Amino acid sequence: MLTLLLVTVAPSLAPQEPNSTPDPAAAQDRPPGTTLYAVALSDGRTLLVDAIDSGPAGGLTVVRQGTRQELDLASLASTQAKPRRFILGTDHLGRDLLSRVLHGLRTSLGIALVATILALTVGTLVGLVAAGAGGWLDELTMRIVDVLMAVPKLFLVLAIAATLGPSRGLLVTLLAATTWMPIARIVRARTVTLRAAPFSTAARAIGCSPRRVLTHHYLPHLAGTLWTLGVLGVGNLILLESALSFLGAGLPPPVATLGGMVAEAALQSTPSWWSIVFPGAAIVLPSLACAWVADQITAVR
Amino acid sequence: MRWSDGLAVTAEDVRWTWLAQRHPEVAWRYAEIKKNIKNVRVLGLHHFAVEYATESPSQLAELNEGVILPRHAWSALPFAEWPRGAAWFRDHLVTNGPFELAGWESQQRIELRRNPEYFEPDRPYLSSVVLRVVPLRANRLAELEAGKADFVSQLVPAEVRRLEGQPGITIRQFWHRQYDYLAWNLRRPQFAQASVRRALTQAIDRQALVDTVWDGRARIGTSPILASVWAHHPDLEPWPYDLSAARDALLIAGWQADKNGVLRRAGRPFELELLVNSANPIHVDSAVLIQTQLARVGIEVAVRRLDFHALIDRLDSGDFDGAIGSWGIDTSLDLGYAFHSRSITEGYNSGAYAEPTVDRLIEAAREETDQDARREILYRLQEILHRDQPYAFLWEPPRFDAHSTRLRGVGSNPLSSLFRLREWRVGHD
Amino acid sequence: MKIVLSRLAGAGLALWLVASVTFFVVRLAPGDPARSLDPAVPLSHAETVRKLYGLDRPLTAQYAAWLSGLLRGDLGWSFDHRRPVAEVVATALPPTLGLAALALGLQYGGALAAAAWVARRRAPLRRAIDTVALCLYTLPTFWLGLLALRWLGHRSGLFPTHGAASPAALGGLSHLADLLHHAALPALVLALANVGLVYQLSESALRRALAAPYAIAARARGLSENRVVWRHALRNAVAAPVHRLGLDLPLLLSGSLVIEVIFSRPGLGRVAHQAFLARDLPVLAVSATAAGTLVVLGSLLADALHRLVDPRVERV
Repeated sequence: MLTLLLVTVAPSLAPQEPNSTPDPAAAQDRPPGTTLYAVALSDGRTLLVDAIDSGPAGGLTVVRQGTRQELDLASLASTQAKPRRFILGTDHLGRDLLSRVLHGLRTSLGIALVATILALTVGTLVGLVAAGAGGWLDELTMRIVDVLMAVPKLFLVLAIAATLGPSRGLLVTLLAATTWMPIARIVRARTVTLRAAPFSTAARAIGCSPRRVLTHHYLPHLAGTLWTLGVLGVGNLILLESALSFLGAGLPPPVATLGGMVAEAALQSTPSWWSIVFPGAAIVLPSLACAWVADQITAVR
Repeated sequence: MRWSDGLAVTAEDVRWTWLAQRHPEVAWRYAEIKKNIKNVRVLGLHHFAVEYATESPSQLAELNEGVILPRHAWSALPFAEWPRGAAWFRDHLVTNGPFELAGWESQQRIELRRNPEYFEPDRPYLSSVVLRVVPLRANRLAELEAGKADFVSQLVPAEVRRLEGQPGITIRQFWHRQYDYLAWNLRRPQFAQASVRRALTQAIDRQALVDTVWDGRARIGTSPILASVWAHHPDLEPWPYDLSAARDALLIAGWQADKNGVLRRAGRPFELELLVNSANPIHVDSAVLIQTQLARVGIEVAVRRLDFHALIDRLDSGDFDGAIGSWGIDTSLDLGYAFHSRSITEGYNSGAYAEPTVDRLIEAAREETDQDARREILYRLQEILHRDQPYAFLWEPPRFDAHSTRLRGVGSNPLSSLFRLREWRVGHD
Repeated sequence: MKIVLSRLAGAGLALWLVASVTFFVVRLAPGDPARSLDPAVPLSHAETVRKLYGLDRPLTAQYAAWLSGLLRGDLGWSFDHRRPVAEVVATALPPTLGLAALALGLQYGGALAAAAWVARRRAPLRRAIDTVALCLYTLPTFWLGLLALRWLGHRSGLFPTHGAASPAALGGLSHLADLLHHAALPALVLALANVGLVYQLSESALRRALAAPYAIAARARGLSENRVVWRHALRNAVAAPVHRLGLDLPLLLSGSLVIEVIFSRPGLGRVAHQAFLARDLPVLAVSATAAGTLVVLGSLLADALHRLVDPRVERV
């Protein structure tokens, strides 16, 4: 629930434009809590300055990047300067970190959610079919699942992402493709146990159709397991997605993703602590929440 | 001068080296440079004569390309086996510089020790040098600061900012033989007109780019001939950042802003995909900034990071809108590689810029041996390229090296930071 | 015996699949390893290089030649390193294996010790440790690596920040100490990132074991609680996490890819990453297959270990 709330609300909380800033040179790498003033110039540019004072002849005296500058009235679009607060500081291109973290949260969570739903669907279907069919088909399916689980995924995913070019759809598909196998295994194992349980023997004995047995008897019993798997999956996929972004196979810039932000910061030769710590913490929090929720679900059952 | 195994370096070695360089089975990547050399004749132990097919200003550079190889040691391996001979060469290593190889580990380090046979007296000063590969930038700096490394090359501005004023560290800045550019694909109708390309250059605030990614320390570019070179046109001014001029020029070309501020011509929006090498953080950052800047005139830019090989693929096939790149150039001042129309298929003119006058001038500059006449030709060429803007010339980057102050005699050379390694010494005064 | 055979067949199939998929994905990826971007090199040079390495032949012919080479034990020629692939991968393997072994040791040793220690503590403390384990589980490896590098490597200088060994050649024991010193931080990061899950598994298994009849019987015989935990329960509890070992290996390998990049360590992950960037197909396909082999071997090993610590498995 918290996750869904974050996904929908996050961008409207963002105080500033996440992907650009009017004056990158003056705003880059500012620590948390910095306030800058936006001065609009008549040629269409906007300067971000540290301090502002009234200057000679109705103009302004400003301090930008540590140098004092006189701006006469003709060069100004307005003598009003709007303050901008950077609560979590700025990144190396002067963009507001808080806004980027919030947008990144939405992007990363959204991708993880959709991919998890996809993986759950595929995994459940395969698991049910294998358990339902039994015999050689079951054996074959599970062998294939075993083989796929032995594939070192990160590299293949990297290679495929590089081939096809990064996009949301591709990322979701790849993430789902690497995570449905354990789900299929668990669903199959549970279904096999369920089939041997007295209540399903009874259901079949009184003439319930296979479909009815499936929807009314198996699925309700599987629901708890699926919830746990799903919640854990979202947390895991946030981590996987961020690792992919870190290795350069994530969404293209300037879209903010949490892993991509950490990666961008790490590529800087002298990264500021805030550009690493905050996006990283934003990865940990939702996956921690997911793991905690999964833990609670397991505990309740 | 002697090889590291004690035998003399002779003119025979020079001739045999030339034979190896042009041999098709060796497949040396720079073989093309030697095509003008018709023969190398041995005149004595240390004397030889070189015969050229045609006279040109770059004869000496053509001869100088590549290093002299040890004939006595390496002629044992047939040329045909050279491409796969790495292991053989490693076992039969013979060198002749101020240093010899003491050890190495792939992707990790190279260890050099003084060559006692080196011909210059007292050189090199250092008894051993270890070159290390440190991929993560932050690590390199920390090694220097901790005194675990003495020299770090090719710093970026943020690193310079951090090292400046630190005791015990000297920073050297010099101009490198490189310029960075944004190439437009002239096959695409939106980039076919020079007026539109000029407008795009004027809509890119190059000063803001240089201020952000280079701390203001790079020179804004005007031409493919670097500002530090004798043939650079001194009177060309960089196109100024001027949004209203850019908008006017785009309007004349038929690009009109709709009510959302998006430029449209015949109903189609002005969109472009900007390709950039993902391994170059400065280029990636610049692409993101250019995206914001061009949005101000209503052009929508999509940034596409590609790894090096995928990028070349797109450029080769002519399937791109714009691409950020850089050229490291030699002293030949031959602009044919990127601007001659023949290079569209045979070279690196990936944007398909074709201008007959430019072709003619490039060919004339190749043959003109009179320096003043050549300068005139090159000035004319730069004027046309400045007018046509097949590239938006972004900047000429400075190069920064840093070393501990105990290191003396470190000169800067645009060719290589290690060019004068034999003069380096350790000392306190 | 039949189980072992079918496992081996499955493993062989998995490896072939990994090798083939890597081959085709990389070969179809855009980018030509023969091309460079140097004004002094004519385009015709790429043609020469392609011919030299057989890249001008049709894809299926290249695949067939490569596969038959593999079967003969010829892993091919790296056109980036200009060395036989076998040599490239063989030099990259030991650092990766060493790092993985150290990380696994730390991870399992730490988790089991913590579980045994916690077993006899009060519930609030247990819950607190549980939460810590949960937090560790959610830490991204690369983030942890970057933080460790920054504060434990650069700031304090306690640990070397890159490489697998000091450049100066050391002999004997001091060489081993040097290797361990270099591997310590990356291994610690890898272990920390994966320790949470193992801890939870061992802790709950241990709790069940302590409530089992034999533990009660042991207590009834007057054995100390310490002895019950360490000698009787732990032996039974270890089975569950050890069985996970096979599943952990792929995780550890992808983790070590990131860690090798961050700590500039030589190893399989970095070789493969570099090979991908250079389109050095033979190296990439072989390193992916090598990684797959490690995973398969790991799960066979896990089975064997499982049998060793829990003899009941044999009867299934």
